Amino acid sequence: MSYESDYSASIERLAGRYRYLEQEGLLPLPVKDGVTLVVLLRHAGWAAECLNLLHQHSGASVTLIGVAMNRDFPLPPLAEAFPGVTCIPYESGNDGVNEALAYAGTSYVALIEDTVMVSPGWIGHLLWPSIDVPAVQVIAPRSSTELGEGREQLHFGTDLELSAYVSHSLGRQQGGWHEVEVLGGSCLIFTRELLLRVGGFDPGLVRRQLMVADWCLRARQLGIRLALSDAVYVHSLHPLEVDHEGKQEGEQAYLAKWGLDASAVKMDTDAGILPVPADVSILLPRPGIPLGRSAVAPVPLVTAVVFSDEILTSGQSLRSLQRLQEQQSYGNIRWVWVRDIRSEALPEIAVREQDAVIAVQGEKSWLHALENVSALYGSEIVVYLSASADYDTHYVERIAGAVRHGSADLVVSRTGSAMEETATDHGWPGPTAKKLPLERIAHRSGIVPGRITRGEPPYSLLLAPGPSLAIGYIGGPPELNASNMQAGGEVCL
Amino acid sequence: MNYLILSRVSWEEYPYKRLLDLLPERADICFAGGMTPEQQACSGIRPVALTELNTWDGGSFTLLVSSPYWLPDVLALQPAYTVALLEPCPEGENEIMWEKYSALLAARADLVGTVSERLYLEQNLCRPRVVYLSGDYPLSCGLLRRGERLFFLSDYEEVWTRALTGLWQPACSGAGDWLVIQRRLRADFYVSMCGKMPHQPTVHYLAATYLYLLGDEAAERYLAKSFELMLLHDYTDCLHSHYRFFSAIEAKKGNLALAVAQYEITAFTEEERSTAVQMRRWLDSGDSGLLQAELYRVNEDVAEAIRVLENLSCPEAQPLLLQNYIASFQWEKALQLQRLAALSSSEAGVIPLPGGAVLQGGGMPPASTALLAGTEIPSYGGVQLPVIEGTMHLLHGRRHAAIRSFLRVAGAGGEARTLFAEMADLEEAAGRLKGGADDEQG
Repeated sequence: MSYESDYSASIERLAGRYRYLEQEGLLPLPVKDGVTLVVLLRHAGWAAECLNLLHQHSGASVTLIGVAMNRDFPLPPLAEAFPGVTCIPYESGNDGVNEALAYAGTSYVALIEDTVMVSPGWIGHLLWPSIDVPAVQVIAPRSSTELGEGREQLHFGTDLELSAYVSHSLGRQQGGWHEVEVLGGSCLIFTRELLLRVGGFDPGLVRRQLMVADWCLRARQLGIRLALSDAVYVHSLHPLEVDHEGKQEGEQAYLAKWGLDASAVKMDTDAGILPVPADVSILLPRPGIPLGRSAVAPVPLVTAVVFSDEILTSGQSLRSLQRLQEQQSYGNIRWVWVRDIRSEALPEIAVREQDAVIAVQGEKSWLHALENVSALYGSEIVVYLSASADYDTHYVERIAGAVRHGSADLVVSRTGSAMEETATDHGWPGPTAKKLPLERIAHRSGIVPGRITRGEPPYSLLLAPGPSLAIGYIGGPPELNASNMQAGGEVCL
Repeated sequence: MNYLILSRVSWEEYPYKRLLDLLPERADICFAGGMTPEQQACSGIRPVALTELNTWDGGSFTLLVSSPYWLPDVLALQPAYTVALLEPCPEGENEIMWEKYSALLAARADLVGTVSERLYLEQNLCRPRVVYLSGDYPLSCGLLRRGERLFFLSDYEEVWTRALTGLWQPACSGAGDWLVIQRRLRADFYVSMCGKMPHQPTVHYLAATYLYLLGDEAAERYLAKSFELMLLHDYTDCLHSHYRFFSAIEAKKGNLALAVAQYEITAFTEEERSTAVQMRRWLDSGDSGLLQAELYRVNEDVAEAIRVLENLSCPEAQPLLLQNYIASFQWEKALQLQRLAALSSSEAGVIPLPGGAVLQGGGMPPASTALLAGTEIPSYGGVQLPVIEGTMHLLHGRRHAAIRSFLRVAGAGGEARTLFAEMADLEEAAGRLKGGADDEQG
């Protein structure tokens, strides 16, 4: 017998012994401190069975944390039925998942939807890829919710059929896995070390699938590799009531975050198709999301630049500012008042620590300050507001959203209120005008919007936008938006 | 909940075993017919001798009935709920009789289930609670634990458990949503098929049908495409089958003038033209409820017609309602309505009709109501009231009363002879069904 056949026989013998131990449930997980399983609880009828199977098939060294994902989820009976599970109740405004992840103290963490039904041997096989290749630190099983090639839609009548299939698959695939460019399914395992480096999941993307994909891309920016297990399959249930809430908003946010052009990529998350940047390593690192309770669904900071063409006393200025502040529903605004104090003595206006009053003397300086304010105060979005104009409660939220999720550098709102049908009655200059009313403008940070000049009533100040800027419009009648589509350098939002 | 299974075939051949596994709130489950001890142990279901059924208290049971020839027993048992599992006519059975008594069983049932999509669509046009017991959705949509076993439910299995639970918990939130969910799944399936088979008129027609049932205005687009494809394929004989359907879609949208104009284009026979004239009259007089109901009826959407008419208080609605009850085999309701009308016939303005039917003053008889040639017996859509009465007597086991009713139509060209023959056939079919079950027990 040759050395090679001896070697092959011993490998086979070892594999057989390993397989026997595995089938008998005698193998511990290949990690010393176990795994923390964070389960997202949404479906009262399924969550208990999901936890049952996780308990049954994950071995003794797992720690379970359940996070109620909606207000109506009945957490107390579940907590009573599973006393070993740490339960985090739903709290509006707090991202319970990032809070739960912060509690994870084990070297591996799994994020699992309560729609996921596991079978024997699932977890051990998902841990091996990162032991095989240390650069692999994110692993997912195949499932009906996974993206791309990992998506497998299989039907099983009972848990017995599922277990038989997975057992067969584990034997056939011999622990196989391969690298993928993104993952987005309802079951994901990663190392705690990576979690601390990447941070939490971005609640701004609304949909869990997008948050997972975004997190994976952020991990890849750190040089980490993602693996899809060929061997492990988990069975995901799908509610009959399809939830489309926030789908469009989430998809737009995802595309904007990764600089993907909606018109040039194919996106159908329901079918498991999600575009990813060609090379994430060359992109600037996306901001990290802090773990823990502080990770309240963040909204980007908006700098609201307030101006008045009239010379106001300090008291009048303060009242105008308060009126605007109370009016706007958007949760994260830095207010910057740019005042022309002419020859007055420096006024005193008490503002919050993050807000500011810029006082300048003379109209030229005033206009110059308005043009360059974004260079002084860094934020994702800058919105101009006139102290004498009327805006509805959601104006800042709406126009900031258009800047954030659209591809335009500068967005013009045709209306100050969602109720106004058209701005033409107020002397709207028209979609192709080269001068735009400053009080209806918002733009991305890091740009100079253009030249600001005096205008005619009703718009006291006009902006001649920089020639290289892409301009988008919101509000007003649809035919105006249609004409914008054809205008060079302009986009319809 | 206790369940009693009244099957067409023996336990070995019973095709709904998986659905029995998924029955909600299972307590005592019985099979009318024989079962071996192994079958009992394996299924957790016990057999019941047919002789026991004569003294059975059905009040605490839900019946699962898969042969229309159990109908007399269903009526005698007076169960808490009846679920009709409709099947296409099996080989060797008289198709006309099978279809008729299946429709009567469905009308009597609290819930109808079927694996046949043709029957599912037909029943959807007759009544509101119908489950399709098949599907093309590859995913698991529900979960059910029974002891050690965990069952993964497909879409229609989840709908089945929800529909059954909804029978005894109708007040719980979302109890009726399953109907819309299943229609939406079917619509989505056919809409996606339209993308894959863009030149297939039937697929477009089915997409339009489900969208219409959902009240989705996209139905019109798919119907237009289907009609266009039919014409392109030289199927020019599609005015009735396709073009008329536009009038139902427009009626649902409330565009009644357009709906009437569309119906008029498809009205060829004398009866159809007379219906069209009546429709225009209602349009001119602003009787939108009557008009809408009639537009639904001529499009075979009897369920929608009944829904509209049951909410109308005008006297003209009654004969139309009667006609729709008869068309959808809700014959007990039809007779009840007729009796109520007869009771009030002493009041002014009531027009008695021969044969026991009445029409209230001012109410025009529906166009499809006619006196049978050479007799004074009213016929609704070709069905005579004494035949309805006789059939119901027969199903309730009142044989002599049934014969008397059938004899009332004796003068109508040998009609009674046909009815007696059908009576004998029904008795024979029921006997065969029970004989088979008895053999099993033997």
